[in-house]
Amino acid sequence: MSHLPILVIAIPLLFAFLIPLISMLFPSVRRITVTAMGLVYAGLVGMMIWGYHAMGVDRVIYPLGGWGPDVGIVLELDALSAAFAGIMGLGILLVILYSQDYMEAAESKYYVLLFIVASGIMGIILTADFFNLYVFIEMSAIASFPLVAVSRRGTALFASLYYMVFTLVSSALILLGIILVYAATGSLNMGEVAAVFDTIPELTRASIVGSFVIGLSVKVALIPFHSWLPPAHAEAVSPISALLSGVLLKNGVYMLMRLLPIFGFGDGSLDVRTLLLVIGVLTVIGGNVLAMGQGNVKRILACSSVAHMGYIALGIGIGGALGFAGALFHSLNHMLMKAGAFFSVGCIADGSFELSGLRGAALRTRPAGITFAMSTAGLIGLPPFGSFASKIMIMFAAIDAGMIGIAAVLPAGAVLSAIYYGRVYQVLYAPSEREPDDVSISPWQTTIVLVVTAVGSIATLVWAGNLARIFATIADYLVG
Amino acid sequence: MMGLSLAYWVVLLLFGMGLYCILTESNLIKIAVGINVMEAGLLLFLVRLSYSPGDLAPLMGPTTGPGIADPIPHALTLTAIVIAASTTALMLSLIIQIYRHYGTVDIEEIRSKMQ
Repeated sequence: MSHLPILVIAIPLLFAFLIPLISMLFPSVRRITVTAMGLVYAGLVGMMIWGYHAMGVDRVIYPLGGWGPDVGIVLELDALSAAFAGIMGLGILLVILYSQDYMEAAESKYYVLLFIVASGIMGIILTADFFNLYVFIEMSAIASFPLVAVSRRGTALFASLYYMVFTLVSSALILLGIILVYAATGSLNMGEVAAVFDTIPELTRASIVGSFVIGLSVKVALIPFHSWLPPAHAEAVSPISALLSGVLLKNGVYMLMRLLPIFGFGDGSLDVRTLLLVIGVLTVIGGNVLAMGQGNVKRILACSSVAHMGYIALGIGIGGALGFAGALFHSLNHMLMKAGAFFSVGCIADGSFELSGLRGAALRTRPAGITFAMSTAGLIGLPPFGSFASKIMIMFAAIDAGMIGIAAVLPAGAVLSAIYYGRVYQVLYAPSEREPDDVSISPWQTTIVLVVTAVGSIATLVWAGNLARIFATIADYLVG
Repeated sequence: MMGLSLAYWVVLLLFGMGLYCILTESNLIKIAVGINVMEAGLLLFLVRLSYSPGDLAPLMGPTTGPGIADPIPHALTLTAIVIAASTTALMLSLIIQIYRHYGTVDIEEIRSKMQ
């Protein structure tokens, strides 16, 4: 275990600032260096998770600089952090590998920002200090704003600013919550706050929970705070769309799962669970309906991300270990499938993502055409793919809790998404008038990424039993 | 009591003004100003919380205990100011780029030019 928790935050930061130096001194080795750095990052995260499981303890506390939780800031690795570190580490590695071919002409700034995001995300996952959490939220968010605008098109610049304004308001609300936590408890350590949270006056408790929940709802793009997501995710270049949808949205999900149990779900002061259920139903239906009206493939995928965040909100809102475990499982599935869908659509479409110009395009690209079909079928929730299992888990959790209406929302959402993905299939897989031998094969590194996401979307169903057991243990430990 | 709570009224006013500005203005620069005003309100709140009249600075002698101001919020405020300054710089540079593209900083006009 040793120093790995701080290394997974510090090493990507070091990499970020080494990249411009390396590409200035030895421009020919930039590609291989960045690939190696991505692999080292994922390897460190993997070693950290492995070390955690090998130790067989509930939580590992890493005091920064040797100062304990009473005076210093500590990093804390528990089962939830380990699960999310795995999901996010894999997502970041895929984005870095995919960027190599897709963004071949990118300046080295692109990778600098990517590694800063990678560092910030691990910071969010590992820190046990509220203010440190805010710093890492801002770190990963600020690095992601210019990434959206990397194409320098006017629409991308505007989408980036729009995303930025929403995110800054959301982090201001989170900061307000943190200030209130400090004022009420005199501590910023999550464990200490959790221990005394019940003793805080009810009105303060409700304000804390309220500002966190609204701030995080903006970050996760739950309706009615979703309007920043479709332009940002659709206007960014494809690897960044995958980063935003697959990885950065899960930041907010992680924080909801980490903070709500600390706040006791606001029991007695503000009923967060009911709030999340209402917002979740709105988001699932609203996100899918929004997607139906779009004529741009990436916008359809972006609106479907809104709907999927709704499923996760429902899983958390239902309460109980099963719903929580379902939401965790769905985070993994959504990362794999939405990233796969954005990666493959980047290979399928050349420049424009308007459906009207993509007739038969998926038939002419290998293996992107196959990955796109598998990822989107997984996003609908069809059986041979993993998100079938996670949606069933959330549905069973709702039935167990006696919320039949909520359980009915999940199949309804699946039907709605089948309608608009069906429309996409009709165009992308339409028999083409062009020569049949006009097939483009992706470069090998991109192919690996596409195959990993495609195989991953099935593998999560094959291992659904084991994964569900792991996630259920985590959920038990958090809310049981 | 009224005198004590004046700072909190200013905090509320700044936060509300900033949020109102972000939600209603269509000029990008004014939105950037709104975000800064809102953050200023939060920072004032953070500083105000740590101080009650007559407190000593935690510099010499005992650094904690009654009658000594809590130093942690000041450290936090400093960090938050740095973050706010860097986000503002980034936001303004994006606005400059948008202005170069569209020749305006008005959201409605940009939207109509994007069509």
